[in-house]
Amino acid sequence: MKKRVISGLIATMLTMTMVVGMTGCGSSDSSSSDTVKVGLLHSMTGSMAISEQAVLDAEKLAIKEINEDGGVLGKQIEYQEEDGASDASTFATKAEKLVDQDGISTVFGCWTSSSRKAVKSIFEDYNALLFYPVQYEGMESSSNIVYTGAAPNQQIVPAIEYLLDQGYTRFFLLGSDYVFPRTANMIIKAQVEAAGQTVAGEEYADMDQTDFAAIIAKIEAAQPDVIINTLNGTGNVSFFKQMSEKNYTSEDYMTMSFSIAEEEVATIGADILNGHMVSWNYYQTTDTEKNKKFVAAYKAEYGEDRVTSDPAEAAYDAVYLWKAACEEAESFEVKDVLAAIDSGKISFDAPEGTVTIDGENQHLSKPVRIGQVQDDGLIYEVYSTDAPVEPDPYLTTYDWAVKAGIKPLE
Amino acid sequence: MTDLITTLFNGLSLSSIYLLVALGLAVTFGLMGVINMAHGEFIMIGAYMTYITQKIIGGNGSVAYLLSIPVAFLITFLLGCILEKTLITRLYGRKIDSLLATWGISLILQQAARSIFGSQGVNVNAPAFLKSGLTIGGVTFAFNRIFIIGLVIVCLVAVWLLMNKTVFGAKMRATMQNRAMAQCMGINSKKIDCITFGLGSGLAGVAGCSVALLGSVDSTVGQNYIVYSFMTVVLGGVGNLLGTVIGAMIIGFSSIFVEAYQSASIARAIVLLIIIIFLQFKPKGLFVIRSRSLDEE
Amino acid sequence: MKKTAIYKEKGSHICFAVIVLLLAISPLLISSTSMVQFLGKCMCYSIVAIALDLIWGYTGMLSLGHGIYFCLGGYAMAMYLRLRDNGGKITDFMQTGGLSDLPTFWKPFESLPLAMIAIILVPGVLAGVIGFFVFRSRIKGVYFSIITQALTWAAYSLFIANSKYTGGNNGITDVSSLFGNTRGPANKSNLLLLFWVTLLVLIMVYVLAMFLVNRKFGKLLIAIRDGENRTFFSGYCVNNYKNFVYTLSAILAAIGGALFVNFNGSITPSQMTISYSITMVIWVAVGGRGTIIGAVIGAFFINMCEYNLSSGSLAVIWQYIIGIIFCVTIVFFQGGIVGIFKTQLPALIKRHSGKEEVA
Repeated sequence: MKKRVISGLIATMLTMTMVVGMTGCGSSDSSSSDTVKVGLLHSMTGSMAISEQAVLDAEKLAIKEINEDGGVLGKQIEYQEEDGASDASTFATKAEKLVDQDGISTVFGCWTSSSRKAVKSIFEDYNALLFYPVQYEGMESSSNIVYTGAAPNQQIVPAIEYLLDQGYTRFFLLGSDYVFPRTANMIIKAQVEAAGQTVAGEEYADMDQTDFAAIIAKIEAAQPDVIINTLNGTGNVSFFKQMSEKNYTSEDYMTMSFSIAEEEVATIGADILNGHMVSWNYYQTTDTEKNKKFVAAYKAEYGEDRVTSDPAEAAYDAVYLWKAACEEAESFEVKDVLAAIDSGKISFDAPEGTVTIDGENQHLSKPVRIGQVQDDGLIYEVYSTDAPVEPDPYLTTYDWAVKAGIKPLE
Repeated sequence: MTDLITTLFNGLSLSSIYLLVALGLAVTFGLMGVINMAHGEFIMIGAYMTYITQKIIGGNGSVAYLLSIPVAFLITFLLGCILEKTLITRLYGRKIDSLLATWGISLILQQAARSIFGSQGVNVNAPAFLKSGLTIGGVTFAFNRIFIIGLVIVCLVAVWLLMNKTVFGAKMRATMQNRAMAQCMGINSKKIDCITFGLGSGLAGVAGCSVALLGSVDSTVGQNYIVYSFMTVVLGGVGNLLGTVIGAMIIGFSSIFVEAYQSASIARAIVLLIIIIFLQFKPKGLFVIRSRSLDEE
Repeated sequence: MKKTAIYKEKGSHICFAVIVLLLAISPLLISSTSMVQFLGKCMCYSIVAIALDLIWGYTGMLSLGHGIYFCLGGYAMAMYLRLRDNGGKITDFMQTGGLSDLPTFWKPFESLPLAMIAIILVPGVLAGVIGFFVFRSRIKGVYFSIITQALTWAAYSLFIANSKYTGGNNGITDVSSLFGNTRGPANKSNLLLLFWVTLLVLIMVYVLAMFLVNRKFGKLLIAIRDGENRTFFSGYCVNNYKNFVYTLSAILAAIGGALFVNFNGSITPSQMTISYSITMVIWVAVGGRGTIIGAVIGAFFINMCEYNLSSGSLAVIWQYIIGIIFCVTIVFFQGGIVGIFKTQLPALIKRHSGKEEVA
């Protein structure tokens, strides 16, 4: 009897120390005198780690370069990594931990729209700053998020315009079942129909779908001349491998993909993807001086066999843009940095060309490039816009979009 | 007509894939009563073995791929034996606990794959002889799919022969049916357990080789198959190979047929609901081994 | 598992009282609101863990699909909060999906009382119906686990497929709590209110669970776990008991989910996945199945470890640690943390002091 009470007491002691110990170690000050701390919030585990690792690597590379170059405003950048574990709620918990408990005001992070949506209100409520490095579906512009990837009018819309110019008439829309493909397809449908062409079919695969036989059969039945592919992650690998085992090449069904970058080409196989089209703002082959340096630095840091990709480049830009904004504001305070960003003067001579943060919607103006996969596993530009395209996340400057009722929610 | 043939072939092909991934589980779960949640990770290991073999031998030759199948079997067989000796052997008779403990193993193996091969997936090339398909009258039969159907038949026959026509198989069945009695007859039941579990894991490795050609090879590949594997075994009736075959056919064909008319997510929900409703009427699956025991688990 | 004795509960009560006390004063001591938010989430997890413990630890039915009830509660709450926050207008995902009016089944969630009823009624009815059929056809043990797993996956797919009604993968985001915004020092009073209300609910759930398991009903649950047929032959309608406790457990999980949304500010279908449902089981297993306090301790312990140990390079190691903790607990310490302190440690002390006496 006595023993039980004693052990019960020991248990309570343990719990007590655990609770106190863990809460106690929580508070730490944001930066000492000669360093500034930023957060990196990505999935290091779980299903999204496949994609987010490259982005994380690019961010670390940029931080390392800046530090070697003397830092920002004379301060070295320190970073704290948090694992979002491919789960939106974990992202929310970790984002809150970073911006509040750890006192870090600037975070580079997220990949999926669900993780961005889950953390959006946290950054707004704590008035912190998130740099989001991936192309996405648009229809959003939070004053506390800087979107360094493409808005729909910098990736999807020009790609469809290009296809329409090339004379494609029957479009098949294939995507994974989540918000980016659904929104992208809503836009594409409006655009294709406004141009008087047909959408021959629209299919959504599960995020973890492994068998595409039924979907391929539906594509065969619909007889499209181009497939607009918004599949994400592993779905792409399965889809293209299973198209190829039915002897289909880009000559039978041309595809235009919005989520296939150099990384994905490497895992799917260049022989399978040869000739297929993609749309991004940047490729490893993009011919700028800045890019040669970026690619060389990336390979030197992470290995010769690694490739750079659009999301990685956008993440790399994000760190430099933040540096430029801090220097413009001469401060690390979020309200000063945001004021500098809103001036519309923050730009960076990026590997993809000069990018500028739009003061109003905090997206970047960036060049658009349509590319084609070649058998060396790299993507080569076949078309590009002459000048950077201004971001328009709600597509308000496109008549067909306005007519189709695409507008921000009041 | 061509549509129907395509659909039927797709259904057969999907069934064969489900059967291949579930076959190992039919051995570990069906015969031994161990719920191995790490089964999916053995599939993953098999898929990575294909990649490694291709890397070592080089090129995308057929030799490398054909060789990778026995290699994958051996490696996963050994890992299975190690897992059995260290962990599973302490959990016999505790089905639910075996489920939870192997879930922990599955987390460890997934992370190990990420640490060794990196988070990104790796590229496994289809060997030349499986690259394209045979086109007859507008219907394309992919060689790879035909190969998988062949492979699953070979595995099935091999397992059946092993279980029913060899001394080892007799010992194995004896141990699984009545451990105490088998031990009294001089059978080394620990050794049998170990090898049986290894066999189940090895079959998962073989499945991994096929899965590698169908989709992405990364640390999460096993997770995509594990639930369907369990469904297949449960639907067919635990401990019955024929049941597993029919279970795989039900799931494979119904998935393809429903998906022909519905979106993939809805199709998955419908197939799962079909399985659940089916189990209402046959709670222990299609084929039940009758026994007089009341409290059998 | 079968050997688990019915422990004297005094130690548990003391332990729970200390935890409650610590939690009650913690928001006053901790300056960062995010930590308080996190502790709040842990309390919600504890409620779910208690719910799971009732059906697994006591009744021996392992549900690998409690995520579905957690989410149903969470969605019901989030739907109400969403509509309250934007004044009953349609949401962004409805607009993307092409809807111009609020779907009919969303309408009741404009009122708080109806939403509260839905939080309890929807999961309750669903669990009741599922339980009725599942237990009637005498599905038990592993088959029960696999069926619940299939159900969860089916529900997950349905939520994804109907994204214009449910928000798909994104779920329902951008909601503030019942008591308004809880983030940042300016809103601390809202947070305190929410925190203490949640604590009160946790206490009530604990008391309810203790009330149930410490009387004949609880003994019957254990009897069902250890020998279902014998209980049946003793004249008890086992199915009704099982169905009751399953439904109750679903409702408790839903309450946990509903409170969770208030802290988290969003709910997504990823809380409905199989792996998340198994994570919930991990909490109970590590804390100590078959003891209510164990569920609470486990939920806090695992989540706190994860919160602090999954940053930076530790994130990678954390996966190994959690895997190993889990294997070791299941294989060697079936009683979990509570078991260590209640049986293993006293036994060790006894052996040790016994030796000294001999010497």
